[in-house]
This record gives sequence, structure tokens and C-alpha cells, in this order.
Amino acid sequence: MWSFIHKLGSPPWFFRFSGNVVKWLLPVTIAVLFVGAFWGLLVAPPDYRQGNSYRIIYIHVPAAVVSLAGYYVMALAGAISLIWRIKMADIAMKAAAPVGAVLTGIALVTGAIWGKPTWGTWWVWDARITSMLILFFLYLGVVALFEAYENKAAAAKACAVLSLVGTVNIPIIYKSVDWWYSLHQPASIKFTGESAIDASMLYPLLLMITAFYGLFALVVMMNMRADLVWHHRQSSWVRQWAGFE
Amino acid sequence: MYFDSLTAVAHMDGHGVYVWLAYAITMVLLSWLLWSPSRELRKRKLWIVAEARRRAASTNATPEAKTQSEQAMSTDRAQMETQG
Repeated sequence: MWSFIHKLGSPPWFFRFSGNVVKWLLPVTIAVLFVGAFWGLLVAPPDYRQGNSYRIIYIHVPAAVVSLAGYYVMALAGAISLIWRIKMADIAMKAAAPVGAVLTGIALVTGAIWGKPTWGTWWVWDARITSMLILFFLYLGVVALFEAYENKAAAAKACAVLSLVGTVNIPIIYKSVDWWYSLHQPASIKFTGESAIDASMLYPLLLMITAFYGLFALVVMMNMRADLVWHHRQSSWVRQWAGFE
Repeated sequence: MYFDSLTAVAHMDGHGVYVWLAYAITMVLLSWLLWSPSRELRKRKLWIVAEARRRAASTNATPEAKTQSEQAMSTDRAQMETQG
């Protein structure tokens, strides 16, 4: 286990390893995504109260769940970068931020589209939605901060601090539907106790959540690979990969 | 299968517009997420190959050719860096 974590810090090892992972994870993720979307859109029964508009749940919830988990990944990379000054952690943090921003954007946009037929409005400034909007800006802030500095080490430090401070927002998002009166419905899937969702609707949702996790891992690794090649363009392992030496 | 015709799938009892719009936006964004790093990696590989070729050419070339190829290399690098 420790030797695996140790190896992750080595750019050539990670580049080879991630190349192999991407090769099989890409088709598996796309397959799971299509099966889940097909099941959720066409096979699952409609909701007895919301009708067919509820089918947006199969992209809205996975995007939201993974955008929250992705923030922890980014903040953890930030903490590792601050404490141990590992370059790979900076690269991971930089790679995760745009993916998280897009997933949060998807959660917000699909939520707005779902809100229109369900609540009669595209947008309300309630606790859940506003805290998700803050998450979106935190991700964008990290992306922008990386670009703003000439000095990459200073950029990584600033981004690490911002992402660590921003973690305060995550439990607020989780708990917002319990703490405040909200239009947003509370969680249907619970780790403890029985879920408030029928199996015929739950299985495609679990498939889609798995696919979104796979997608997050994939794109973060692909972003890291593109970054690594550029950082190490003078190294022999990159030249070897490109077909030289 | 819950729906019995393609029209029913498209219409979804009046919710079709919302559902399909949400799925279309998501699919476009996810495809962009997957496409953009692979494009970046391909572009950078081409640059590395081109630079290695230039370097190899400049070691066997006259002094003037060498300066020219070094200039070309630094412009390329500046371009790549501004593009991210």
C-alpha cells in the first residue's frame, strides 16, 4: 500500500500506470453510462408525483454527488501539496478543478431544468442551491488562481489554501436540506436505514453514480497526463513515449 | 420498457423538453471533458516530436541554420505556453 502511494509521486511511473488505467476505464465507464441512462430514461417507471420529469435525477444526483466528492479529492491534493511539497499533488489539484467545475455546473443546470416543471421556477435562492453555487465559484476560483500566477509553486500554494478553506462549504451543502426550510427534497439514498426510493429506480441511479465517479477519475488522470508530458518535455521518458531515444 | 412508442419517449407526458434538454446539455459537457485532454495530449506529442526533429537537424547544420531553428523553437514554445 505504502509503496503504491510512494510510486504515485513518480511522474514516469504514474504516466505509465494511468495510461493502462485509462485504456480499460474509458470503455467500461462509457458502457455503464449508456446502460444507466437507457435504464433511467426508458425502462424505470415514472414518479407517482413528479411524472417523467424526475428522470433528470439520473444525471443531476450523480453530478452533484461526484462534484462534492471531487472537492474533497482536490482539497486532499492541496493539503498534500502544502505539507509535503509533492509536485504530483499540485498537478492532481490543477487537474481536478475544471472537472469539478463542470460537474457542479451540470448539477446546477439540470437542477434548474428539473425545477421548472416541479416547482414552477428555474431558480430559488435557497440553502442547497446557493451553497452549490458557492461550490461552483470555488472550483472556478481554483482554476483562475492557477492561471493568475506566473510562478507555478506560488499558484499551487494559493490554490491549496483556497481549496482547503472551501471544504467548510461541503458539510453545509450536505446538511442544508435538513438545517433550513428548503424547496429541495432531502436525500433519498441513505447509508444507514432504508432508502426512500424503490429498487426499480435505485439501480439505474447507482449505475449512473458509478459511471460519474469513473468519469471523474478518468478525466482527472487524462488532464494530469497532458500536464505531465508538458512539464517533463525535456525528460527522456517523455521523449521515449513520443517515439524518440 | 416503460414507453410504448417513440412519440411517447420524445413527449414524456409533457416533460420531454425538460428531460431531453437536461440530458443533451450533460452529454455535450461530458464529451467535451473527455475530448479536451486527449486533444491536448496529442497536440503536445506532436510538438515534442517536431522539437526533437528540429534539434536533430540543427546539430548537423550550418551555424545560420542553427540560429533559425532555435528561433522557431522558442516561438513554438511561447505559443504553446500561451495556449496553456
